[in-house]
Amino acid sequence: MALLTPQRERSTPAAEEKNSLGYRTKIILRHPATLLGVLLLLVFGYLIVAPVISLLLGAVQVGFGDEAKAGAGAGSLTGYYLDRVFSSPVSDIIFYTPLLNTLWISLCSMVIALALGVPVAWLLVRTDLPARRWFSSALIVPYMLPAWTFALAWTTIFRNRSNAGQQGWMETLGWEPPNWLAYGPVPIIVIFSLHFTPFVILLVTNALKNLPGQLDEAARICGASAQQRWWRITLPLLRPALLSAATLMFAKAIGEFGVAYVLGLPAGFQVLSTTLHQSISTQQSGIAAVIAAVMVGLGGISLLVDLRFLREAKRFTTLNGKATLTKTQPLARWRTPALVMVGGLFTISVLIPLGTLVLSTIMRIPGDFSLQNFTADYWIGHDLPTVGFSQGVLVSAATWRAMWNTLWMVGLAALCTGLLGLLVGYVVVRSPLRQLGTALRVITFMPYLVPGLAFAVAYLSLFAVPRGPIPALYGTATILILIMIADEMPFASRAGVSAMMQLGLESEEAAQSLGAKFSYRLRTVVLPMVRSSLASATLLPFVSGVQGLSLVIILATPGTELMTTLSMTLIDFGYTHAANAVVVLICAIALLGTWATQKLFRSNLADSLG
Amino acid sequence: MSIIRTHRWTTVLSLGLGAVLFTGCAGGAPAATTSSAPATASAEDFDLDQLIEAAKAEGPITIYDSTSKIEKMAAAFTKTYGIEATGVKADAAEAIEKVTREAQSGNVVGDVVAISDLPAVKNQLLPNNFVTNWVPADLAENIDSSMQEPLVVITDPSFWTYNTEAFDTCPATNIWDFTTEKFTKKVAFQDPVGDNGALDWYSQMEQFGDQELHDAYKEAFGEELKTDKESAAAEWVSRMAANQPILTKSSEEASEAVGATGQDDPPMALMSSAKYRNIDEKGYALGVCEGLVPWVGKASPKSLTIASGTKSPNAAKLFVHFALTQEGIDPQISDGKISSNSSVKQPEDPANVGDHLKEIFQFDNAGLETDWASREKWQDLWRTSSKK
Repeated sequence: MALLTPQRERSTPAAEEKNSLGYRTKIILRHPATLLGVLLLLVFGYLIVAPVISLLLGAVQVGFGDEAKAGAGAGSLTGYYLDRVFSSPVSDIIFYTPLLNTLWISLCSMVIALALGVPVAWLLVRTDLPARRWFSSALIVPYMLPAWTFALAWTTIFRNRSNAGQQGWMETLGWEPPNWLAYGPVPIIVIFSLHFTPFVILLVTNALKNLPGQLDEAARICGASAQQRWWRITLPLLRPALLSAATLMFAKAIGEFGVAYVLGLPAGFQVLSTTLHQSISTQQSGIAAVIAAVMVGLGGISLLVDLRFLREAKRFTTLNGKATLTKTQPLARWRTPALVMVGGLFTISVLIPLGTLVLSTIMRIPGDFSLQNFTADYWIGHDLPTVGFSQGVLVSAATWRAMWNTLWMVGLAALCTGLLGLLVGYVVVRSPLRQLGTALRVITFMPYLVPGLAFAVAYLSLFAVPRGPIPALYGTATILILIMIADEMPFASRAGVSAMMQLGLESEEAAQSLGAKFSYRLRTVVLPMVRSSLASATLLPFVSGVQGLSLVIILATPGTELMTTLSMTLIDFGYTHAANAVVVLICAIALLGTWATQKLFRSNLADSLG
Repeated sequence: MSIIRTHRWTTVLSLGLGAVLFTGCAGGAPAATTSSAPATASAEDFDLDQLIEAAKAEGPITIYDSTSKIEKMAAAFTKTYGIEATGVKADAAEAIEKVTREAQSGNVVGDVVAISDLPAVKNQLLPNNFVTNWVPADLAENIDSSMQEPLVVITDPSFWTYNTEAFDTCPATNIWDFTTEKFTKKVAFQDPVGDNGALDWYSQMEQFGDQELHDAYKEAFGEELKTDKESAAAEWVSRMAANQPILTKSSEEASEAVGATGQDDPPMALMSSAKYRNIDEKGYALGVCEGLVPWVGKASPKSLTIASGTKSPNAAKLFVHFALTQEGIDPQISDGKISSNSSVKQPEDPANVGDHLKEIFQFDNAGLETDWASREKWQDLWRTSSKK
């Protein structure tokens, strides 16, 4: 603020001195946020930028063993991989078709999620829908479940003979689902939409709550109808939140792997993340790097769009912290239909998937609903015929070990992430050097764009070697925690920024003028005031970390087995009952964590999405 | 206006500078390390007792293997020799990555590595001296020369399998039957595009089994094979891809597709012999397709090599020796794997692997370079031939 001197002041000698580089530099260096920002830049440069760059470099450097194919020594520059992906006879199959598929699936699910989420959000905030507070928490649940669990539930219900094997539930009930319903783009889009709708609901309810009700009332006084008020006042004011949601969903859909893998393969439907996985599993790291680079690029475009609209959003304040009395609109005869619709959404997105999973763990043969088929063996039984995992999930030592690992590792990572996010927010909002803040924001958002699989591979190759003072971290729990921190920084920094934006300067400056040092101020003034935001900023990383798979599957070792890697191991063995049971436990942990944080800190998941 | 432009340029420049700076920290060209490596071949006068003495004087060892049985094997090793051994489950891609990174960082954790991706071992790990190959001299005569460089510890058989509940005998008699209309959408196996084992098998068939495929074709269709592809193997792969097989994510899924009971018209599958345990564990109905011409299945090798930078080379060698003996390899062969040591007796297992030893296709190490170089070719052939 000291830097933006009005035009007329610039000509006086005093103003000249104030504007000089020396003076400005002094101010910048004096402010503690600058030093903090530089430190954070170094940390994130090591944790985020370095792996991403090494990943992208792999696209143009000859890898081990490819010397013969590329005609050059390992490590030298080559266009071989670029050529193969973009302009070879198989490019269509490994790149262009999957790219098109990825794009239109992401777009469709984004549109559907918006179309579903916005009206539901409005119903929850602005009307007198019965049980709307309960629905507000209940409808968020699908976002906390890993998307691939939806895919598993879908195949349990809708599988048909095209993949042979066990019968699906529909088949046992006598109806054979057609191919287009059982596998391929249709179920993928449905599942993405169901998974992203809570995201939209969260963001839009948050924005709606902060929308000043006066504008709406003023329009009503002037005689505008409900329709007009919706389309010309509410929706335009929601534009920043909607665009933010849309771009974030788009970037997430591009990188999502599990769903497309489970549902796309039987129909021969490829997306970029599945071809990426194919290249990684056949040791073709050059091709993998090129595809990952394209995915990062696509996500980067959506990031630019998001940043641009975030800047525009600052033009009008919706967050003014004043308590506004928003009148809820009575629904009258629309009450029941609205309730049915919201209830229906809850049933389809929460009850059915979770219910299917839970039921599948207590039924011996899938689809057989007769009483003798139900058993609690897979939960609490002993000496099961499945040799590799012969205890029920709740009594097996492996489960508890994995659960403990998950809780402490993900918990620690989430705490660090939340704190770092707040610090980033502090630097962004308080530092007189705006570029520092922007640089931090861009860097901490990068992991969102990088597919988890590729990020993990880059981490493995980078941190195996000691660099300077940092020892080789490979094989330790540290590397898992570090990668989880890096991966969750995008939302943590957004949460941190929006939390800090709400904080007024007055308390801090009062402490400063009383002589408090920076660290003391931070500890005793800033952090306590934003503690509920800190809790929120910790909550989302915790929930994501508990269900994250692609990141950790490469880096975890038997001593550091997490719940998600345990369920993958069980799936590998084909022990579907045990695997589904572990997934149910994962969901339970995520839900419990959210509920506990909400109760203890009165925090809100919406705050953490910025 | 100009201030804003300057700010923008500063931002871009500083970001760019930061990126360039961190490129220095980023992984540069992978560099091979040189280190003292134990001898690749063993001496004539090999003394097992001497090796045991030397091994006991060294520290504990860790073994990477793709099967969870390695934990049992390590425990048995510790019990027999008193040297602490830990078995760690790591699939081929993971193990290769770990061995490479450990060798580069000088922080070797895995002393002995069992990797089922032999072309990678031969073309990535051995030439860069990340691992060394060692064959115990006292057992070398029982190990076929095609399995010594790199040393193969076991071969993992996969069989063509049918559903014994729906069929009395195998519905197919010839490998070319799977390419006919009778078997459209009725053959299940793991997606070859993502499965190195399948790609290597096609390459090995082309190099060492092409004549048998030609003969089998004549037997099946009564005429000589005429093809514009390079080999009978390529023609078979191309026709298989076009015949709309059921592609699964794993051998486990393939076993479910063929073996689940209550199906009217179940498919056949090519699946690992280990999955035959599902007959007991899950009640599946699985049977080996007896008499299939020319091969009833294939046997994919798994190599056992020693990390070059290991701090316990003698203990590592002792483990390699142990893994080639009857008691050492027992946990794996009772599951259906076959030891490369021909003097090791094959125990009973659900797939009766012992009865089929002569009828499965064996890989040959001599073809490893070609296998490595032609993986993309087979991927491309599959992709361009498949029809959905």
